[in-house]
Amino acid sequence: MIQMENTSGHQNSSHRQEKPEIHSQCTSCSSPEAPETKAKPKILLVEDNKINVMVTQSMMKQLGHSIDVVNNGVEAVRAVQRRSYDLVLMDVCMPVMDGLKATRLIRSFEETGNWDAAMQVGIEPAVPSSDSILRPQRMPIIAMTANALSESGEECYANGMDSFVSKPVTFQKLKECLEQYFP
Amino acid sequence: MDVATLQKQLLDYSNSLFREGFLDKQFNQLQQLQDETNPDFVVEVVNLYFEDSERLLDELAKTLDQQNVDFQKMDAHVHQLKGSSSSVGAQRVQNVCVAFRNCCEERNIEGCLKCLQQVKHQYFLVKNKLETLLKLEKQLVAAGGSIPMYC
Repeated sequence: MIQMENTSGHQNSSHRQEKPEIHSQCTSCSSPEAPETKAKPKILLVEDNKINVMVTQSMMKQLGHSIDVVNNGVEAVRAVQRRSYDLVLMDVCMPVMDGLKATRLIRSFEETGNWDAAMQVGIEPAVPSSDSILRPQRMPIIAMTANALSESGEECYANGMDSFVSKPVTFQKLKECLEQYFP
Repeated sequence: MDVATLQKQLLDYSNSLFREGFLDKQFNQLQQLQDETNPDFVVEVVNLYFEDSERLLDELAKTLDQQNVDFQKMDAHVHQLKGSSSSVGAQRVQNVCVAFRNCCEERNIEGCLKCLQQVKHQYFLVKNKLETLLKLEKQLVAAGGSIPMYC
């Protein structure tokens, strides 16, 4: 079975287009909704370490998921501004902007409906804020912690993360995480 | 050599690496990620680890060579090395990184110099071991065998 996805694990921020599987087309439906699609969850990995990206991406692929990858907190905020994700795997320690800060900015958007907090630190919104009239849904953000003192579970929760996975990331840890959020 | 002998040679070697703490069970995770759709995964990730680690070791040496040592920068590099070593199962390298980070925190230059020596030593040891392991795997596959799950 040949997989269509490119999983070379390269580090460049790539925004892969999800290909929704169309299982049933409701031709008699008068509803304005699009044909019923069973789209895979949209997952974002925020990680700066190339080896970790390669390993995590391959694990997710084996679990049946293709993921978008960005390398720091600023890129994570920008990615979230561009599309809605169903799950974010957020490394804590990263250059440019760490995972705790990025999570705070994303939560601020979810609470207020605007990206003012991000703009204050110099991140221009990718879409005009007039588009975000409706209050966005809270997305699960899972911290990936290195068990350092500065990356305690408490600190992750305090910054708005929903749970955490300790590194090194294993197949089992990711599987359990996915089962929890996509039962 | 026949497949059975090659396989035994490979298993003996891999067992020693686990026993002596060069590799830990995280390496099995890498093995599990290798399949028909990803047939060279282990080699690819190990090579990436080598490339990235050597870059970091160079950076660490440069940082320690400065008049005013930037301990934060050094700590960031060690953190990276620790992270990637942990992800591939390079246990000894990971452990030295832990000690190294403590020296960075204490702003202990002598300690950092010693740690750099140790981490380089452990890194080149595991590099050598991994290269040997992968070579044995290649020989086994070439002879028609398949790579077993270690430990």
